[in-house]
Amino acid sequence: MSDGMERRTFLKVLGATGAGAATVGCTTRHVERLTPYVLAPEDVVPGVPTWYASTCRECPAGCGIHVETHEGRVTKVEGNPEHPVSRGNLCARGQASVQGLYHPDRHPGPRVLEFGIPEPRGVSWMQAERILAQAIERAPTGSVVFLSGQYRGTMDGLVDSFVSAVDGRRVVYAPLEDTPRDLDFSAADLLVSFGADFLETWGSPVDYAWQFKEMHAYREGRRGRFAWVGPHRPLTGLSADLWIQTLPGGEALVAGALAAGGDLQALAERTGPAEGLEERRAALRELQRWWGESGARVALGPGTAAAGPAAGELRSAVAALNGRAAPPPADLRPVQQLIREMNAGQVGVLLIDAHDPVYSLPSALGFEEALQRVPVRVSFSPYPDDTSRHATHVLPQSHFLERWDDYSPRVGVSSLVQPAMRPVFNTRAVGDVLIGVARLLGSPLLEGEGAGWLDYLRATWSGAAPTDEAWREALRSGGAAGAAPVGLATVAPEPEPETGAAAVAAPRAEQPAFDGPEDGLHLVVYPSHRFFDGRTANRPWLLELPDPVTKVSWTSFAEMHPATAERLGVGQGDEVELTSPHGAVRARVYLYPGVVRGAVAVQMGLGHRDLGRWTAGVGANPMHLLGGRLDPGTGELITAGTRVSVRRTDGVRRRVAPKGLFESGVRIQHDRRIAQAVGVEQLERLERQGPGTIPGEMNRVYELKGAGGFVPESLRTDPAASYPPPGTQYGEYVDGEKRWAMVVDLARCTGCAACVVACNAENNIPVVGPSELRRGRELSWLRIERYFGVGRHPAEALRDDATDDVRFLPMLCQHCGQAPCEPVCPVYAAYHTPDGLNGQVYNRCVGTRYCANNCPWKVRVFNWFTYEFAEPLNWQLNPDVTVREKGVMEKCTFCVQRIHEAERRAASELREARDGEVVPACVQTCPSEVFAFGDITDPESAVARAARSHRGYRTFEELNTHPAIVYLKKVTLHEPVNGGHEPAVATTGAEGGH
Amino acid sequence: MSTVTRSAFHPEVESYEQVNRDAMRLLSRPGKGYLALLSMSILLVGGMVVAELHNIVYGLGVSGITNPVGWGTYITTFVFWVGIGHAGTLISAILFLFRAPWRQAIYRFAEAMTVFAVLTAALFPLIHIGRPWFFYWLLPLPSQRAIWPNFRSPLLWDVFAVTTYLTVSTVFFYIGLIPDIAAARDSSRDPMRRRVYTVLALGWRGTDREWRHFTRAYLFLAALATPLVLSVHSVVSWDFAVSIVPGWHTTIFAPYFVAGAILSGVAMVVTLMVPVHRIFRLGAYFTPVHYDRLAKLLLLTSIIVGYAYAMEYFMAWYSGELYERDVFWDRLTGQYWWAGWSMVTFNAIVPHLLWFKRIRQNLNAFFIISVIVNIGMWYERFVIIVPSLAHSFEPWKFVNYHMTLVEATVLMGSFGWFFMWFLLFLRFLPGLSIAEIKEVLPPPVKHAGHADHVHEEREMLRETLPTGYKEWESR
Repeated sequence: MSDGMERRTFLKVLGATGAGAATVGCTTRHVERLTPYVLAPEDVVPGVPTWYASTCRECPAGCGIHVETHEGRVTKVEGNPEHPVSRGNLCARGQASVQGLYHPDRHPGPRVLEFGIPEPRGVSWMQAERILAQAIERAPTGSVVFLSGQYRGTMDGLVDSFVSAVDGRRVVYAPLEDTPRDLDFSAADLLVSFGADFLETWGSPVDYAWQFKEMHAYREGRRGRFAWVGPHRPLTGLSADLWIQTLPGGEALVAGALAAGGDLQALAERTGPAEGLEERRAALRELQRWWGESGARVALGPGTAAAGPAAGELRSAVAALNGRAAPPPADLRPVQQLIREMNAGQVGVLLIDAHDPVYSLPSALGFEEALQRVPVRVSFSPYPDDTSRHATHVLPQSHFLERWDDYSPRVGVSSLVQPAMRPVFNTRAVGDVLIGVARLLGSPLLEGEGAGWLDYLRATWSGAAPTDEAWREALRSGGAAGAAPVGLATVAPEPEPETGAAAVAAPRAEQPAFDGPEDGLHLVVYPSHRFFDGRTANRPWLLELPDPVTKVSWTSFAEMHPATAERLGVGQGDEVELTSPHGAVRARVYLYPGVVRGAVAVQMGLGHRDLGRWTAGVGANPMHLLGGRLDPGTGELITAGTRVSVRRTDGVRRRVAPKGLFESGVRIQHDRRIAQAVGVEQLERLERQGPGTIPGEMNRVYELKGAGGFVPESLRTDPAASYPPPGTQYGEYVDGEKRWAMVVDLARCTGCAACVVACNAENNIPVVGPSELRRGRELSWLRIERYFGVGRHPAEALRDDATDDVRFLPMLCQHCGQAPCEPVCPVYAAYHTPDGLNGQVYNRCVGTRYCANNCPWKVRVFNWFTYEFAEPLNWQLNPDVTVREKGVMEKCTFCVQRIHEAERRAASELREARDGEVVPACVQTCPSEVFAFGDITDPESAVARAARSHRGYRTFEELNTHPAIVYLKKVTLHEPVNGGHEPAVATTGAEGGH
Repeated sequence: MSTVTRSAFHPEVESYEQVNRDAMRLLSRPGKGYLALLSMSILLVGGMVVAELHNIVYGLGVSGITNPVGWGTYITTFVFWVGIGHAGTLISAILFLFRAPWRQAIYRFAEAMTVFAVLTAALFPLIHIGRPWFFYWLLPLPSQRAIWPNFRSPLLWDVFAVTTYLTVSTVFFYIGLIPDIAAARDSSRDPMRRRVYTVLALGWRGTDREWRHFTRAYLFLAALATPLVLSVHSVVSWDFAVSIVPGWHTTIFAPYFVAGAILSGVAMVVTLMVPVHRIFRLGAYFTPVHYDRLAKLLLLTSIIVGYAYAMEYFMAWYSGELYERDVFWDRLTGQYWWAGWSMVTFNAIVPHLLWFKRIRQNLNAFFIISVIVNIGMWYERFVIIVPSLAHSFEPWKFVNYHMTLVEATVLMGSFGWFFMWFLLFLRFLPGLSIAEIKEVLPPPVKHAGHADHVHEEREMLRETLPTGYKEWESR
């Protein structure tokens, strides 16, 4: 061997290097290469989000939104403050739309099932369009049908010209969409809702929640009234001051009598069950009095749940009450006709761009069976829903956050939908597909070789935005807003002839006709606050979000009055089978006094056969129970015209059964005075005595003072007080610094939980799934507590009047001045910031969980595992917030990243952050503007002004932890029922009994 | 010819030689029973290792703890073992300082038990934290993190209390062992053992000078260890008392926990003594006098603990505090009512059987009572920790706790770990204190003229005996 490396040396070096590389390789689990932009896009500054104005398409309300994108990825959706519908707010479904965008089980790209091949084959879009064009060409003339939703925009024109180009026709199927979105009842004195859940799905929930806050929440001594008429109290009904209990169909009688000026009391026997006759009579009398004495009064309805056999009468009665006809209901007769044609083999090609008709149509209509008779079934659904699993051609459309579109939520408002990022999957807008197919068929829908859907859209907008500048301005602002909403409350009642009082003056004598067994329970099917008609049921946030009323997540439930359940011999959590002549579903019983006796309520939205990994096979679909009966006058689907028999399923042991239905939290406050209320008259008395104060301004504590023992000390503990408090020594506090604080107005909170989902989205909070949730391991930093009663006996929550004063309480970290969590942390993971935040340093935390044990509010949550964000759901993660690993404690930070962002922005502009500039995610999204946030040491700040109130209190104030969150008591019409909370009830456990 | 004179405490021990013989007998080749017990212990430890790997790899979610019950079986077992560790130091140090003559025969076992119990307890803070790989952040180590631990946190006091206790009791244990290790060195035939004992004996030759230093050192260490008996469990109790959780936030906790710790420690001593007594035929050393004294100690601490229970409930009622009342009511009627009632029955009621001499003298009965008290003391900690967390201020978060298989395996594994060390101790270190037992034996005498003196000494000792044992002794 000469010079150079010997073989042995070489091998040694090789081995050592390999071992070294392996060791180094072990230290980081995922080595990812970060590639910087070679040519940086002009509008992208790394770390600074880019915002796009767009329109939410999760429901027909069409709220204007701002879409936050980080380096080309959508991370969050917020309301567009310039938009007349959303006013900058957004609901839970809208917040969760990003999870629809990133759902891992979306169709990855176009797939076509070809003759002779059992599995659909993935194709390119060019091939897909050609295959579809060929299929349309081959189909017999006139046999092409486009089953579409309500586009209310340019798509309407495009689809119409497409179907005329292919000699087809269009059938519209848009469940729950034909509700008025243009009402303005913000100045009303009285609202009467006939099953219209306007805070959840009816009309324009975000807009209406704001209006409802305006008319109903306490403000300057004024407070409107709200009556709910119907067999079931969903979330909206729980905000009502009066509940007229009726059986299905009874709403029409009440509305009719009210419109005709008849005697409501006489209806008591006919509208409801035999029980509670006196109470109902009193309630009807009250309603009549209210209606008579109110100046501006509005009737809302009918809601979906009120679509009983007398739906038509109810509709005309409500129109008479308002003096204005509501939009006609969704007419299902064309769909029925389509099904007949499909069965007859007259449909050759069915293009479906509607929300999952197989799932959401009553199975009794037989759409699913008829679909099998259609040779070419094209689904544009982005998700593997119950319809697209039957499709021969799956042409997934882009999510609304990835495509161009426009939408007109109401007359005079046109909103633009613009893509905030490139499609996550290989998807296209339906418009592009139709234009491409039409071009292949030789009848192009627009001029120009490469012109597509965007050009079509721009052409339609050439009137509203003729120049590029105007177009850009429209994109910036989110669209064009024109006329204000119709001011219903201010319109004098002027009955239209055909729907006038005379037409409804005489209530029917005979009982409406119901399907199903005579002795069965009335079935009430109502749309879901979280899932609408089921279209948003695949978002993990919404699945995990407890239903705002029942606090049940991840499954369906059958709500029953406790007395009804007792009669049937079933209890909470028992699995029952509901059987109607049309089908049967299984669900677990939820005892709820907000259902009238003799009825059972089942929520829509779950029970999908597919729709992705989290939704498939979960819960029950009540549409299986409905007959395909339509209202003969309007073609409206009758959802409340069925009776069902209820039978406990075998093999469910009672002791085990409650485990089957996990309900978060408790129903009563156990005398803890955590959600308080005050009667409006008492409040007025207090306000006459003088202005309110921030709670804690005049506290008295007993301090140990040498030989003097415990001496009473006057001490300001209110959030605005300076720190350190006299006599204590806390080095962290800096006198004169600001203190971030929050005011939560319980009079405004409707319990809709939009804040919870917004918090999930902002703070990268993982979803834990049903089995972990059952163990109490949810990770939400913010929860809405719902109390039916204030005392300690569980039966209180089951009483008939339990739903009359329901308290919703957003609970989050209180950011205490003297936080119990801070001193107990051995590693300073919990610490106090100079600006009054109760910080949590994830990287310091070793996970002793002492802080959580010591937190009286139990708002600290622990990462029991390292939770997965299924690809590409992890694209949604907010890069401004750390993703936590197992073994780490976390909690609400008041969105510290937003505080710092605002402060940095202010600093870069050489000024202090202004009041209202710092907006945590929950505050930002709340449709009824429950929260106020800011620096409470500034007496002029919004939060300080809101906190100075006779309604202010702080939870567990007696623990002297100086919470930074001031709650404002709910304002009830009467003195709070159930005894309220004053004086403090301090019964012993021994006397209370459990 | 020597006169046969017997010790008042160990009348069946004939001579110094017998003590040597018996002590070395423990170190001889073990029987099958011993090996079976040892294998079972090691098996349980293996189970614990697997369970703990689950904890580390998947996260603490595999245990039953939840929000808001952040502490469950792990912390319960931690407090349990710290408590067990108390009786050893009590017997070896405090009774040493008080010159109690019945201490000599049993203190070595008790001390070994202490060391191993604290060794077991020390595992749990590591097992229970969310990120055990960062446990060293709890130690005040100068590091690039440039951050001290929070000295206001009771958990940090815990770290100091437990490590101090472990260090001092280990040193105390070891110092006491030195003369006996030397004896083992001198009598051992196994060259390997000889070598190890030689190192461990630190060159002990048994000279006067060595003995003088030894007794001084032992006395000082005893004085040093004594306050720890009170401090450790007081500090552990502050883990709870310093918080604001209703049911924890109580001034009575420190004395209450110390009394409970001694109760459980004494019970554990008895639980260990009786089988060792039977298996190794140590009747000559573990006499009814010892059991009688232990029984009385157990009875006394049980009464103190019973008083503490009563006071807790009284104060909960008397305070008028809603949360406090609810928690205590929940302990007896809530989900874990059976644990609550077990605790009261096992710790405060069952030991009262020891008022009866017949039961005190009956080894089987005493053994069973001791085991019952051990179980009861585990439940005591469980009842303090779990229902208080499950039922504190916020009604929305009344959540309950269910132990999982992983936790149960760790709990069993902790017993395996403890018994593994204890069994190895019996086999490799002198379980009887040869030197100290000889202290209470009458010295061998050569001349009959000493008989009077010896007799007087014996009569003097008789006076210290409990009534009823004079008859037994004069057999």
